[in-house]
Amino acid sequence: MKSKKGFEMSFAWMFAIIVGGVILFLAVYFISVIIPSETNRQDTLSGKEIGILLSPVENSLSSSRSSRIFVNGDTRVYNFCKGPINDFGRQEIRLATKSGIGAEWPEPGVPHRFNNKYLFSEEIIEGSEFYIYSKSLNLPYKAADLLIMWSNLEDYCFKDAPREIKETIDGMGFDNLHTGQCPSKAIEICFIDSRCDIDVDLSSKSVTKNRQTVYFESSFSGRLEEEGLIYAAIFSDPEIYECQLKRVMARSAALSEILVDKSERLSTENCGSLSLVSDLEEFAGLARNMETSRDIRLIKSAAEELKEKNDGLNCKLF
Amino acid sequence: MGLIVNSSRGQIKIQQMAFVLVAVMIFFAMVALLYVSLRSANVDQSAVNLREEEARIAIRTIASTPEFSFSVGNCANCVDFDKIYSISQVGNYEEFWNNFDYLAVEKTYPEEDSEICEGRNYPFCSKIEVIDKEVDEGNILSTYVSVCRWENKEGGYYKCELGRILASGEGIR
Repeated sequence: MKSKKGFEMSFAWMFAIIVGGVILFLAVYFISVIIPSETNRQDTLSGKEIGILLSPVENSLSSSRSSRIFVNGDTRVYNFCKGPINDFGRQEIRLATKSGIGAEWPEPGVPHRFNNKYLFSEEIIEGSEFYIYSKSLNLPYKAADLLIMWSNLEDYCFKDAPREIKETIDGMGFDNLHTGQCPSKAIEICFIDSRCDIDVDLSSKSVTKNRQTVYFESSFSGRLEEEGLIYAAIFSDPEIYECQLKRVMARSAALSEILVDKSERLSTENCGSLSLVSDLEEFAGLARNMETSRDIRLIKSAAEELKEKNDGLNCKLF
Repeated sequence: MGLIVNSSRGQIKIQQMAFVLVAVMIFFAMVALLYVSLRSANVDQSAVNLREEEARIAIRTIASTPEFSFSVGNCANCVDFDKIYSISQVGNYEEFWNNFDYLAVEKTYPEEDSEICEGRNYPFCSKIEVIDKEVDEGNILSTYVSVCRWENKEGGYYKCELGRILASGEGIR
């Protein structure tokens, strides 16, 4: 006689399987929703914190300063610059932390917008440590602090750099900037040769990177170590450099307009400041209408004239 | 008779299962709601803390920005009253310092007769409001500075008085 025994599933088993399945599905679903949003939240907060940390780095009493920012694990900083259109332009910073679940690099956090910061760097900087060299730009008065940023992942080698640049680089105290022996795979920055990753031409005051050339200028002393723009050009994407320089010039133009207002007010006090109004207006026009970094030479010569006249005033404007 | 008993027992079990499933769903919904409300409260608090921190750092450094600094002398903590007054007149700096709801510079000693600086009373006034978004300013932070300007007496000289910068961070709206 054939056995008619079969597998009989009781109600309790069916119930346990269905409810267990629902619970597991919900748990997996919530985890898959919560983890990316939690990572995004953390990246957003970290982005804001980096923005806050940049404030004390700039605005220091000294004209230059170097600092480090440490982050938890491998992180990408996305640097976005929006050029000025009748305003001061905008700096946006976004962060993404390397993830062990799903995509290696998740969508970066919410952008943090700053109208008064100027971050010169590659468009995406990746690392666990970020280095910042802050340098004020005085053209002819202090217009802004340039924040030049790179990470610990790349080595930079300055080949045949002039003594002043070597001293400045060594003075920054960062391990991945080399002025002597070049490590292999280092990004080479050449001052005499012209077949390196980055070529610096001190006679034409230009930096060629990614087959694009940008221009820089010195501050008034003409001393190389006082040039912030040269380092900004070396460490930045050419597009970022051009955009940030335009923003700095827009701020400089606005400052010039403030000085026009100040000089008109002081003119009632017989200090001769009115003689500077036309020069300030001309300077503001040049700075505001700067199209590319090539125009910086013109702006510098107008700034020199302005400085000379201001130095001759009894009540100096700046 | 036996068939009727089995059928009603089955119906009761189905009803039980439905009730338990509904209860489980309600439980999960409540847990999710609790999580979301706790998390959003936490995010709001983090944002408030970060903005306060930002304002605290910004107020400490604003005296040395090109717009505020008294660049004529080599003075670390001096602000230029003339420049700041010009900024308040230009009026497009609200977006520039978008992390502030309120930003003002006030002379504290010696005291002046009038309060807010305007065209008719400048420079014989004590307070310049650079940004006033006319919202609840919340916690106003302050830092002491030297307020300097050109004084056209006795051949002209730079006069510095005791003052402070007042600011409040942007609130969550």
